Amino acid sequence: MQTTLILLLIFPILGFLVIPAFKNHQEKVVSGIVICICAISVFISLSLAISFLFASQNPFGCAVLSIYDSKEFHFQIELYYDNLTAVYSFITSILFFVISLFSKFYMHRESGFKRFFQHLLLFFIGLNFLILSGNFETLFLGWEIVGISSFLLISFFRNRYLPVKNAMKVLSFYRLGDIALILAVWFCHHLFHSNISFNELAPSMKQLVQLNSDSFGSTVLLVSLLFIFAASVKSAQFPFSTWLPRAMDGPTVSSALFYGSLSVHIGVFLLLRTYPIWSIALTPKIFIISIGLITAIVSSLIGSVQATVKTQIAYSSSSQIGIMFIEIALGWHTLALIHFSANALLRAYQLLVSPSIMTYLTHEVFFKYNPDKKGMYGFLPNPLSKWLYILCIKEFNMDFIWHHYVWRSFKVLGKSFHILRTKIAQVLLFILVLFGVFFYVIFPQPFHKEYEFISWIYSLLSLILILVAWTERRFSIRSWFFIAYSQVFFMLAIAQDHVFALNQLAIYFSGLVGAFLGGWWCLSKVKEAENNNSLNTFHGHIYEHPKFSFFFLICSLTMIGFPISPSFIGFDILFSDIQLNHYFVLIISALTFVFLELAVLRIYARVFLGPHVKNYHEVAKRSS
Amino acid sequence: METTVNFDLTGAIHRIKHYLPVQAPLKDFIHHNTLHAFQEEKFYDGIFRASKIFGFQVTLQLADYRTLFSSNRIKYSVIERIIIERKGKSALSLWKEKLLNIDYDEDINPRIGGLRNNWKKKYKIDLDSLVHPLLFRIISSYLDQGISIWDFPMNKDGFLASIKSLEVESAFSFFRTKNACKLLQSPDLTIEKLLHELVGDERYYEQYLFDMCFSHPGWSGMVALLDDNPNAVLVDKPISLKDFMLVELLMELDLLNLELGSRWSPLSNNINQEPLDILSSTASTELDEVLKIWQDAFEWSYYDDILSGLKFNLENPKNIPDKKKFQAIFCIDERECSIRRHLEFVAPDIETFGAPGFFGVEFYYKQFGAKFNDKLCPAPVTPKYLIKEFDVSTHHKRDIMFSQNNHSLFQGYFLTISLGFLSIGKMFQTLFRPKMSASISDAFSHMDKYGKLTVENTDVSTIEDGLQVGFTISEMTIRVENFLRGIGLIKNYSEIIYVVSHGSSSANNPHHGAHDCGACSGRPGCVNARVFSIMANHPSVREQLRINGIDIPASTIFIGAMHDTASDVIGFYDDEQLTISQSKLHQEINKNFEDALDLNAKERSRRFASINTNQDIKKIRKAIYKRSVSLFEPRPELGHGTNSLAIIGRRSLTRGLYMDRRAFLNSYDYSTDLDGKYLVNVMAPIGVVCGGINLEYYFSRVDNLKLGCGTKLPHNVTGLIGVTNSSDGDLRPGLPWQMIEPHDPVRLMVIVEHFPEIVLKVIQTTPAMFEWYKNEWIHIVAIHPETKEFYYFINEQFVLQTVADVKIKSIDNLLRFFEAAPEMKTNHIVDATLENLSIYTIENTK
Repeated sequence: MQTTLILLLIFPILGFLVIPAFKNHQEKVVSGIVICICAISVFISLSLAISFLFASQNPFGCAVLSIYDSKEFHFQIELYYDNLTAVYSFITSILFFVISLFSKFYMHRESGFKRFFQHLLLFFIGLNFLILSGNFETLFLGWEIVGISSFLLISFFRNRYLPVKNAMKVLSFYRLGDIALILAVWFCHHLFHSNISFNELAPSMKQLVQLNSDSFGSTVLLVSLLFIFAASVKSAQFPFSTWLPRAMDGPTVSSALFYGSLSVHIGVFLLLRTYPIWSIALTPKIFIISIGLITAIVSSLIGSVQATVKTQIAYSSSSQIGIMFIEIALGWHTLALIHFSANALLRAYQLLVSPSIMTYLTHEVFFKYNPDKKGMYGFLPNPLSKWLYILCIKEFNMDFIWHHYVWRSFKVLGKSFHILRTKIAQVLLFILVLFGVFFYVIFPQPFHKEYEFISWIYSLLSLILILVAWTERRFSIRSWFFIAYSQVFFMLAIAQDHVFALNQLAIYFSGLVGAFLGGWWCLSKVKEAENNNSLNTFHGHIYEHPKFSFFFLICSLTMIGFPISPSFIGFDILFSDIQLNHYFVLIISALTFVFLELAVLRIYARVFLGPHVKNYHEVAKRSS
Repeated sequence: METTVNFDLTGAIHRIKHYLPVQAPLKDFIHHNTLHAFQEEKFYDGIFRASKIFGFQVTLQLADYRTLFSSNRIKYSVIERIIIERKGKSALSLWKEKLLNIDYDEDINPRIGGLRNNWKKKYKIDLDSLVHPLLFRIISSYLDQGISIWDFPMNKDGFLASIKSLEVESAFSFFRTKNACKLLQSPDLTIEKLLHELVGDERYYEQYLFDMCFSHPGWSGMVALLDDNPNAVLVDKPISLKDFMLVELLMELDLLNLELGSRWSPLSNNINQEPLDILSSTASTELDEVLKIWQDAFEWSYYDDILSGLKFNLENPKNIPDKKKFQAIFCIDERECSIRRHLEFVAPDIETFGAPGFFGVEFYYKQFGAKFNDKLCPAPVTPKYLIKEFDVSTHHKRDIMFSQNNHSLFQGYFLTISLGFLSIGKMFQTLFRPKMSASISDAFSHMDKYGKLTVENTDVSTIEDGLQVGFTISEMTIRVENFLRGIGLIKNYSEIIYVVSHGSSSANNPHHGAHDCGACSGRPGCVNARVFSIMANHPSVREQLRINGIDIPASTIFIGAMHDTASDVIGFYDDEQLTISQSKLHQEINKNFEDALDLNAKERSRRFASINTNQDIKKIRKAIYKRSVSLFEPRPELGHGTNSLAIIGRRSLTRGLYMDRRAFLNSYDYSTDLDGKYLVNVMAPIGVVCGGINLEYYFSRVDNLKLGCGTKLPHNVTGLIGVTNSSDGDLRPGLPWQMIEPHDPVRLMVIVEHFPEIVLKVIQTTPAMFEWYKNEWIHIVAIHPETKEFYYFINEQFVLQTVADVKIKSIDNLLRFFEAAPEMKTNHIVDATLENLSIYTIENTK
């Protein structure tokens, strides 16, 4: 059975590797490959589920591949199968099958036909890693792939402004979730003192409860809250709900598959998976119930004022997931799984047929219109109903608050350090790098407590540098340099903090340097050809430079430590090397990690995506 | 300069409205010239000016023309001819070089947006992305026709009043600053006041308003349209463009204050650009001239074939027997061009006619149980009559999957759990066994086959909704007579005459109205066909007609019918009233119809990649039907794509020719109307309906992103009035990519069989009609019925046109001809329209 589990990963990966060999107009082959893979997956997941149901019903796991192994840290791909996996895996593959078949016709002769199916498979791979994961590292790997493929699918119509803008917006929300998850995983690592597999999760927790050490309670609470945070972001719960309707910018089929149904239920999966951890205390439960309850009410209220069909479905879905959160917290897991399956299937179908609403509802109005009907909340007393109506239209200000208070404060912070772009500052920074390397070479041992501030300074600098890169408006190449700088400082910060082997450094560095040079080359080439690739606006250079665009995307993904790149492994190891008591370094590093991806993909989006700056061909209006 | 100019708001609003897109809510799809605002200028002057002001692409790109040339779609001889005509023989090589080799800067730097851009330049503030999302949300909720569950709390006095009353006692506001809230409720809130704060100098006001409205032409256009035609929506939503602009200006002010505090001053204080009359004339460039020659060469490469084909057919007339098995009147629609051809092919002893598909009867129609009326006639006509449906036993179908309750909290919970598992079944059914359902727009559901209609009015005081219910005998007579005289059907009546309207069924298609009958305001034409037949069968009408000189024998009966152009299904109305012998004949004719529909399906499958044209013809027919009910099919049919001709004349002119479903065919017999009295009526809708369709396809093709609505795939239905691309996007008027993909952007060529001087007189009857031809938005050729010579209308006169000598190819086996069609390689113009054929003769062998 273990081997069949692996097949669920191997087939999509093979497909993903094979598809680039075909051309865009070979639609039958491209879609055929994907449909076959999905059909096989349906078969495998169904037979696994049946045998699981009728046989032992004992969860099982298996290790697939050891990627990195050292005394303190094992990074291995591990899979795990239990009833939660069974349900998610079956629903996922059946929806993928239906949608890929639907898309074969729906996407016919679209210029991004192949790209669409390629991204579909990438998403499938990520989701399968996530669902089948047997440890947190594997889960995080899947989680990251899902995030990036979301970005690519939302910005599928990359020659328009809104899809690209919304892809960036969704990414920024996802990043908050990522960071919560990576911190949670990291704390878990320190909680269990080893990499833990999911099948050991419940027994280990029991042991820990019995031991009941000093910091145990607070650590568990912290871990739980981080998991809840990550789950709430990914499942579009209050106050993060606004990303969901904005993710509906790709083709209707991908909206149906991902944002209507699968992607948005990942939070539910995470909560169910980490149940053994957070269920031992009452506070996390209260938290989950409150979030669920608020979301259920708020999202259904917001949903009820939506005049566009896809946003209406998005908010309905979010509201139902709120109820699922409550079910999970109350321990009704079977109900939650049934609810998940039903909601995923229903929303997928509703989105697929959403264009039909024009015909159907116009008929309804035509035959059933009643001018005196006030609508759902018309019964509320007057001032209250007006307040609520305005609040709902404004989506309870969620978007505004995130934009105006959270992201803007970081922007202001970043801009206030633009002085670092001067030549003198550059020289100073360079000296600091040399100093850091020197220090590391001279004192290869962990520092004494009193030198700890050095690593603080380096990590703080790395955050500042990435913020500078993120707020750079004029020169994309300068921004790219600052990103690299920030990475160097990040590495030095951790190097000062902890001994780590040269091979770890080498892994990380190899990815980083290559990515940096490649990206630099692309940007210079584009600059040479176009004489302008500032970050003030979206340029859409992909229209004339699709190859540079593709290559730059690869470099960007390597730079941010995308799971296919060496940087990812390096990144993971580096992160796990931060010691437990270094909260400051940890939080700063986590923030750096958030802005790293935003800064890198911002360059990609602004230079290569969006409406083309040259107007000699059809270019979409910005408002469309 | 002193600010002595007084800003004229009413004038500015009037001008802005004139240039905004005028697409009605999608339930009524009325094709129109997308650049109607420029129609008072010559075609090329107008489109190039539009391009320079608003930034549209208005022709293909230079590179596209060059590829079309190298693939031989634009003929060298035509280019040469056009250059010599315009530039003289001596300039031939110079202009050839310009056309073929010289690089031009094709970048368009439009005027629009040039003033308002300064917010971004000077203050680094992106007003659009701050204002648009909330503004669109408010306006879509306000105009919503039934998607949202909680309706906008309306105030009868309009948009601004509604917002005011919503905010008046509210603790929350759409606006972020106190200042804006206060301003909203202040009695002296005017556009001028807001403009004064935002822009400052009066001379910039109009340009600013243009910039603002055209930053989201979709919503502005919809508001402007509803301002002028409040009846375009079902649920009453009083709104004016003025209110909408005011709210937007207030939001801009609000957000500027929020983002910049006191660190800003009116725009005119910060700029050194002179005020610009955005509509003032634009300079023409050499590139314009080059594109003009290319476009003309592209068009004439096609027209040359057509004219010589028609000439050939005129010189080789076909014999049609006097005694006809049956006669059938179809809509003028170019999609009916092929079904007529096939019908004549399977039954050579018949006669077919073409006429605008409302069959000369204009009225509103109230379906049984409906709360609203449908207008069933060309858009510019305002009928005074109402036809009501009654005695209907079937009910309006519903689909639980679309129940709005599943979006609510508690009901939604139970519905989600129960419907969720049903939906997987639905999905599989959709994929493997597509069938008609309540959510699919079904052309035949427009009228119940067994229901009855109130056609006759015996008491003119029966008024409903301000309309006279039914027509009196004399009103019927006038309409039937005009119609029959218009198409020249005033003698030689066969036993059964079919009046075949058309509609289109399609699934998951917000633009389904665009596939229905254009002469019936974008609806299926079955009611008109049936009403016309009832009128023409009425004994009293027949009597009146006889007095007026049209003698229809008592044995002749008119039967209404409808052809579904997407599913290739035909339905007949009132066929139970046929006598036994007629009924027998009808059965036989029905077989002819079925055979013709089979062939039609096969012909259409030539352009569909998902259907194998070589398989058994019945299987193709089934596949075509499936396509029309498949939710996953974004191209249920190709609509008016490829349309390019309008031929007004006797069928003998075109019978036996293959013109690839590209010609609007209107029957007209000059010999019955020598002074052109009825030609006026015939020509009246040609510009508006056919020209409108043609130019809407033209512009959606050349700039699908700005003038069309882009690909269908991400469309999000908004308020039941239109589609947007995103949750925060602008409304997208125009045609989707999937509809215009196979269309060649060529202007309509109208060909009329009559004396040139009569045609000239007729097209000059109204200035509106004449404008189409005079300004070259469509071409017109008159065929002299006696000399058989062709006269082309240029510089306001008909000039003898020498028809290029093109060898006309012939098709000896239609079936094999269809089967030979290759699949479209890419959707670039060169590949996409490769299979748009011009003209062939058909050898009459099966």
